[in-house]
Amino acid sequence: MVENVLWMLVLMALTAIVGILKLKDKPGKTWFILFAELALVCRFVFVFVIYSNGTEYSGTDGLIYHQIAKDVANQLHAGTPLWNVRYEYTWYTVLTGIQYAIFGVNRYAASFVNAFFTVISGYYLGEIAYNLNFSAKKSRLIGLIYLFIPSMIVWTTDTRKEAMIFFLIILTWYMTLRIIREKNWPIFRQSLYILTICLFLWLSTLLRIYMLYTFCGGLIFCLLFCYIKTRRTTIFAFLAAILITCCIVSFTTVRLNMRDYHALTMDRSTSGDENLDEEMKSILRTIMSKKIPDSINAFLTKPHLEEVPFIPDIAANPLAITIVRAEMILWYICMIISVFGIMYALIKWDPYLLGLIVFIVSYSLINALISENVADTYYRYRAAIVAPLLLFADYRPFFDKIKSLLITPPPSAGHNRPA
Amino acid sequence: MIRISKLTVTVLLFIISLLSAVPVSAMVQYGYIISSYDVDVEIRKDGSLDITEKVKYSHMGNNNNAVLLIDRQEDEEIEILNVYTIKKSEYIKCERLSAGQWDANVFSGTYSEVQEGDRVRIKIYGSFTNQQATFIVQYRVRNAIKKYNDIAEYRRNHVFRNWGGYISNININVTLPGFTTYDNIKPYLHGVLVGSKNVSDMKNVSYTIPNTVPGEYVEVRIAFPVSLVPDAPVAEETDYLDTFLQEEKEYLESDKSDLLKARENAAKEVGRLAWNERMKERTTIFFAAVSLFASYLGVLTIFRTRKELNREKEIFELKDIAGLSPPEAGFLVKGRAGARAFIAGLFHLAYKGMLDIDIRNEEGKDFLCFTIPGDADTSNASASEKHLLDCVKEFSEKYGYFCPARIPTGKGNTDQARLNAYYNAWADELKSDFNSKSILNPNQLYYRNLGLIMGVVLFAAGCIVPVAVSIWSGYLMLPVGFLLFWYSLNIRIRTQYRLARVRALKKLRQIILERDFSTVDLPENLSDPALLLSYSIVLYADHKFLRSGSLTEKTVSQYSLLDDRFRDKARSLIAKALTTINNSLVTNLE
Repeated sequence: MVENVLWMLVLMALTAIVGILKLKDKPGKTWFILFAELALVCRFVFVFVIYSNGTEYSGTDGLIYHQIAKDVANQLHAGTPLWNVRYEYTWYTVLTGIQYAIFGVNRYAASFVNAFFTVISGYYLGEIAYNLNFSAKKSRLIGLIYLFIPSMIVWTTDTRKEAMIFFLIILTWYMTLRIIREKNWPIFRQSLYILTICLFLWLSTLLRIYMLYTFCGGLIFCLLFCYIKTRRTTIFAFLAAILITCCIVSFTTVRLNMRDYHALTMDRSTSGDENLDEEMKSILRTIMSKKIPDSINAFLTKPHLEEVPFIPDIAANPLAITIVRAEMILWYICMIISVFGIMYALIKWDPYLLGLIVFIVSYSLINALISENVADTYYRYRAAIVAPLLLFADYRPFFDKIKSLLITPPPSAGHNRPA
Repeated sequence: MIRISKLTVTVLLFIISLLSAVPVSAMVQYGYIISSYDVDVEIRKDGSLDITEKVKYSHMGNNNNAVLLIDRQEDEEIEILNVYTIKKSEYIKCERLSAGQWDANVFSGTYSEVQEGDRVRIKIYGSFTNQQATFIVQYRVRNAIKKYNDIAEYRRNHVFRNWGGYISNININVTLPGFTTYDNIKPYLHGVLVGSKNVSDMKNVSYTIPNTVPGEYVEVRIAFPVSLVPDAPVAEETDYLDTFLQEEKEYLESDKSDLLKARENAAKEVGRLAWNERMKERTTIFFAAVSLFASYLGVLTIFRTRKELNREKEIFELKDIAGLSPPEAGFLVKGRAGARAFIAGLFHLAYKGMLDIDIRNEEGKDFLCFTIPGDADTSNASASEKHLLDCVKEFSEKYGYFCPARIPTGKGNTDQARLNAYYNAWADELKSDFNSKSILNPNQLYYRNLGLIMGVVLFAAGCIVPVAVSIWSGYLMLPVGFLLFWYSLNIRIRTQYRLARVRALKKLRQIILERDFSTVDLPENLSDPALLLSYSIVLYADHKFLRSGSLTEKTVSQYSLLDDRFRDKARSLIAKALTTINNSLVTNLE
């Protein structure tokens, strides 16, 4: 218990430090950090709740990863170099394994670290919003909504890979925004950011195999339009780096890991690379067997309100059912508002926002097509697009634009001096 | 304002009607369905129970694990002994996921146990196909029998009221620890209206319930002789039989409207689901038709707007181009201002004698510079030209000249910020000037507004309808809506005013790009090479024009340049200035 308390205190201190450094002179800094700490504490409490029965509360993935991480830690203790470590399913187990090897096996601590990364993601999401010209208040609100979404607390607290995936998604898009905006950075810094993003693409592929394509789709679209608009060499280099990374990772990591990726419906009767074609056929069969509009509906809207009481984890728990139902209604509202945010982004033809849209659409499509048709699986997988979608959840700029268009101002003939 | 309010109301009503479609697709889902539920209870002499439950799921409610709720009353201890599941037609034993252990292989059949107040939640994981599964759960309940002075009582909930699924074929068999006469066994069944009970072999009590629906529950209560559980702890030193019978009498006479209501609700639910299925079909057909029709209307609106725009043809010929200033021409061609129009504007001012052009050599490089001559008459300058003049003036006062290629680019640079401010003011003026000339007539304005509103509605519907109603055709509204909106948004660049001028300007460009181009081929008012250079810049034809030799020494002198240095270097100098302004504008855009 003392160890757990120490972990919690250290992570809370780190959250405060990162918050102070990241938000330096931004308005509302103190409140934002305080709420972020509260979100962290909520997650800590939830860790104890979900482990209090010594069992799983939200599926079994967290347990599987914990077991493999223990094995990774044993391998590291036995002197296996990091690059030769054997692991299954996802690279997240290696990360947790490293933690276990250094600090000892402690599933609570691994969960605390996940909670910490989520809170940091909240900071970065707020920063993205701020850099996209949202007001300071709105950007903080976006960050906080993200941190306090109830389902998000569940997904990012257990020893699941979700916290790390969300962190990589948000950080990658944050860094992309910085590269696009900060034209005067030294070449070294720009190159470092670009290389880091390429590394993130690889790591995110190790976490969830198709992330490479959703990321590359969004980033290539964003950078291509950005380059057309600005003709900046850095952007071109960035674009080239992404394309090269996509090719290399496809032919190495994706090809090698496809068989072991447990979320894909695979033909596991045979093994070896020579059966990759069979595996691809298996995926295609899965896709072809689905009614695509139904799958898209399921990915974006499940669990439907009537299905909520039948989710095994919360069945016969009225409070949890009410919370999930309320969250689902808010999610539907968020999606509808985002339609206008997306339309505004299309009118503005902002390459960054267009890239984000491509990322959201490609991620949704891939998941709709290959995920198992289970409400809570869709619910969890969908969580990855919550943060990007929150950046569009503002209808006002679009309606203001429409309003100004419909009420045409009289043409001015005067000679106005520039400000 | 009234129109906006109406628009808002219409859009909101439309969204609400779409939202109402969401539950339609949701309601066709069922929860879990258990087709068979067998419970064997063996009461031990110490008052504990050995219970075996066999549950056959015919549908797991679209979940990848099954849940069983076990009743736990005060002072009871529940110990899960075994959990089995069927894998490849064989029963396999499931491993328990427990604290600290965390080392089971969850895919081969595992279960978890969560203690939740008055119940224990068992979640069973395994490889299931077609949402079907069978489980056997064996558990022991300690301190389950309440022992009084005169009777012992067995009382358990086997199906919880709020479990929420549909269960058929419930068979509960309770075996007493010893034999007794039939009169001494008093079995009761609560929570369902239909169900039978039977005592057999002087020790077995069996209950058969054909099915339960959400809202019903199954509680079994049996009173039997206390002598059968001699080792059980005494719950209360009192005679309880009378109370027991009184309670049962009260239950019998109690209002069971809740159970009737549950049945009624279940029947309604079945009807509702069937109705929903039918409605879903109809909704799908309806929205598919509406989507196609709305998309058709969208396309039709585009064509109608186009027709309206082309109704009155405007004639604009080459000779009329001189009436347009080069920046204006640039704006017409590109649909927006830009660096080329800016530079062309400066050249045009030089042509009009309001500016001087010079080439300055600094740090070994040549730069194109502009100054305002002392005798310049700027009173005739247009509003947009005044911005350019102000820009040259401000920079000339600071540096002695305005040299676009010398302005450093970079965030936070003051000169760049000033240049951008002038550029923006100038571009706004150009746009405003264009808007005042490219006027939409009332019909065109009507179609533009219709297109904007319809485009928004179609786009929103294209996002919401296909997802909510799960139809392909709904997605058609998405591109149509966006296209319609985009078309209407940029309607001014499709007016006859612009199109006629752009046609003439393109013709001019074509002439300049011809191999044997000569200024004599052009109308007289356009034949001046100095003026033509300005036009060629905005028409992306300056390279060809400068190569053509049209820029004679005479023209150069017209620009106040003393020698033909300008002619030789003009292309690179203009390109350099354009690049700098472009960079500056890009930084500003970012």
